[in-house]
Formats: sequence, C-alpha cells, structure tokens
Amino acid sequence: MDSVRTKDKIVRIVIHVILIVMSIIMIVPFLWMALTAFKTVQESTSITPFVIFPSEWKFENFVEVWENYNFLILYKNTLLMIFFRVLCAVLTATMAGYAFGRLRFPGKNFLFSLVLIQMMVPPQIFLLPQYLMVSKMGMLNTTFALVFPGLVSAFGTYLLKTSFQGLPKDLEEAAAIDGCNIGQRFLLIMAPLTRSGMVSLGIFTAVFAFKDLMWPMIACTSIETTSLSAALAKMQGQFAANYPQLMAAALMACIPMIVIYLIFQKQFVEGIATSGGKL
Amino acid sequence: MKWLEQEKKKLTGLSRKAKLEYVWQYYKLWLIGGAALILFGIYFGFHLVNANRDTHLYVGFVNTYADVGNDSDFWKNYVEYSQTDIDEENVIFDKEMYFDMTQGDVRGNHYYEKLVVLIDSKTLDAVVTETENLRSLGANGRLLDLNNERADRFMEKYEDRIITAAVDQEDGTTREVPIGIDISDSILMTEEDAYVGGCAIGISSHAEHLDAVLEFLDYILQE
Repeated sequence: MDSVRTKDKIVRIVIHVILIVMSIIMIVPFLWMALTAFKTVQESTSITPFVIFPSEWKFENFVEVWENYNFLILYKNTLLMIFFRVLCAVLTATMAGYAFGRLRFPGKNFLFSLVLIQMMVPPQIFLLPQYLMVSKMGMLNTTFALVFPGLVSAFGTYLLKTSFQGLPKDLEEAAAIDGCNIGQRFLLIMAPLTRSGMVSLGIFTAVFAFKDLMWPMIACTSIETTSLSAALAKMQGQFAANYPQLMAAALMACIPMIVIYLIFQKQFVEGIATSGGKL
Repeated sequence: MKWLEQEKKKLTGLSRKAKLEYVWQYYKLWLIGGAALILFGIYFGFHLVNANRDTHLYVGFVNTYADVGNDSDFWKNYVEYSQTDIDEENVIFDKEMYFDMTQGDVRGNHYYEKLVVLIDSKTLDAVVTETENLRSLGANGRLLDLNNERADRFMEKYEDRIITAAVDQEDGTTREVPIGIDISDSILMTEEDAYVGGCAIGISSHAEHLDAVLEFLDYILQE
C-alpha cells in the first residue's frame, strides 16, 4: 500500500516538475519583455554581464513611446476593430449557421462546401481581392478597412452550424406549433441556446483580430488608423536598436487583451473547452 | 399592410410614453439595426466621397531604418519638388518593409507578402532596396523588364545605371534582364544614409504612374 502511495507521489512530483518547467519556458519571454522595458539600451543588449534586473527602473521608456505614438488612438482603433469584427462575425455566422444547420433549401450542401473551402486555403489567398475591394471602395486607412476581413467567418459558420445541429428538433417544432414564424424561431428560441458557441466564436475572433498583423499593415499604413500590432511593426523599424522602448510599446500593447481576458476569463476557458480549439 | 393597420390600432388610445414603450418592447432590434445601418451608410458615404483620392506615386523602401517615410523631410521635399497637391493626390513613401531575398526563401514573411499584394494590386509603383536584394526580387518577375516599351524613357535616360537580374526562362535557361536602376549616388545614400553599400530602384511590373517614377528618379539623382 505504502509503495503504491510513494509511486503516486513520485508520479505527481514528476508531473508538477514538468508543468513548472513548461510554465517557466512560457513565461520567460513575457518576463524578459517586461524587464527589458525598464532597462537602458546598454543593459538591454549587454551579454557579459547578462543583466536580468535593471539597475535603475526607467519609466521614461514608456513616457517616450506614449509621446511618440498616440497610444490612445491605437487602443481606440484596436478596440473598435475587435468589437466590430466580433459583432459582425457572430451576427453573420449565427444566421448562416442556423440556415445550414436547421433549414432545407436547394444547393445547401454545395454552398456549405464553399464555406468549408475557405477554411482549407491559406488566408494569404484572400489578401489581394480583399485589398482591391477595400481600395476600390476608397476605404483604405479607415476603421472599416480594419474590420473588413472579419465581416464574415467561415470557421464561425461551421462552429455555429454544429451548435444548431446539436439542438433537439422538438424545440423548434413546439415553437412552430405555438405560431412562431421562422425569424422568431431563430431569434427567440434557437439562437439563445447556442450562446456558448457564440461566446467561443467571439473569443476566437477577438484574439485573432488582436493578433492580426498582415491585414492592418497593408490596408492601414497611416499610424492614425492602424492597429496596435501593425504600429508595433512600424516601431520595430523606428526603434530597431532601442529594445527597451520597443518592449515598453509591446508591453503597453498587451494591456487591452489582458483586460479583456480578466473580464471574460470564465468565458475564455468555457469557449476553449466548448470548441476544442486553441488560441 | 394588414400588420401595419393592426399595430396602429393597438397604439390608438395609448399615452405617448406607453406608445414608445410598446414600440421599444417589440421593435427594439429593428430600431437598433436600422440606426446602425443608417450610421454605417453615412460613414461609408462620407469616406466614399472624401477619402477616394488618386495616387500620384507609391514607393516602397525595403530594409531601411532612415527617416524616409511619409511626413519625413525627404517626403516633404519630394512633394514640394513634384508640386503635388496632397489634398488631391496621395504621395506614399512606405518604409515598413523588411526582407532579404539573398538569404533564401522569404515566403511567409509578412513584409514580403505585403509587397506582393501592393505590386499585384497595381498600387506600388517602385521599390528601392539594396542592389542584390533588388536583383533577387527582379529574378522572380515582380519588376518591370526595362526592355519593355513602357520603360523606353528609363532605358534612354539611365542606360549607364541599368542593373540586370538572371530571370528563369520557360526552356529552363536563364537570361539577364534589365530590372533596375542604380541609385547608389543619390540623396538617399549621400544625405539620408538610407542604405549601406549601395541601393537601386526597380519599377513594379504593374506600375501605373511611370511619369511620377521618372520624376522621383530626377528628384533623388539631382546634383
């Protein structure tokens, strides 16, 4: 009995050691970024001796970055992009998911296969047509341009279709008997039941919108209209040798996502568990 | 219309507040959606009318940390030199491009993909980078063959500065094709310190503003 307990203990210790090592590996880049943000340029590039903690905490790095780049505008642009991408993706994917999951209409399988194809090709394929569309509309360097690729979501349609298919038919039939038309059945009965799917989609869309670098870099070249990720890429050019300022900017850029995560922590965990995806 | 009459009938006799409450209770989604659509229409229309300016010139500067982007002195001097009215036309000097094609495959590099999109969408007119990087870019067909009749003026004027690249042919051989113009003695090097060891300019294969590119060359190569 004792040997079994000892074995269990050893296994547990080994698992914990592995998990702690993995956690350290994951957290070290973030810590390095945070510490570098407070260093001087010399300390940030010094190898011998390797400087872990700054000798003097330089808050000026944050002030200078804040003054050189209007971070309030960048926060506003990024939050607007996330908000509208989530709103549009959830709205359109819910409606499309309901149509594909619950309704019968000619060409349904063909149309759904078109949606699936979008998930199977590299996203770079869509860059050129999307850029041309936004450019021809005269909407480059606008919030609309930032939101544009997120107006619809093939992944979201697939996710919500699965959610709608998982709901019992009886609910919809009962609502139909009670006199609900198709819009009411969708809006009042079925859509609220797929809330967890919508939350998952919202979280995925928010995280991917925040991380999106390629599109804002192409469609919004002006610093006044671009997102945090693209502005950071610009700063990489400007502060190529000034790692502390670059890291200060990166740390400041993390704030919206950390705040969103803290507010929606429970939904984040549920969302990942529901969809089985990873961020 | 029957529905409208029914709703009107329901509202008759109700106080103003009760009417508003009723409409909000039953039609709030429609109201919110309608208001959002109207706001979007105004926003879209405003940008459609105001933001759709023509481009006078779009130049990409690859691998430079010098201050040659939009709103730099270099940019302002060019705008003044070309007498471009920037309320009417855009002049874009885009320096957010970093890739080195001499070091191997750059597919997957966001900056390179951005350049490809800008070239293929006929947005980018010219690209400035280190000479060898430009040769590699020209070798994969992204730059205008200066033997092309569209580039006659460039060949005539800058014949002694031409840079070639080995471009693969359909029969498996390679052929030296003129794809760029050496600008190592330009103000980009002498005043702006934009590159180390020389640079060159290539014209995008789909460039639409060749006159402006020629003017830009005159500007950077002026005495």
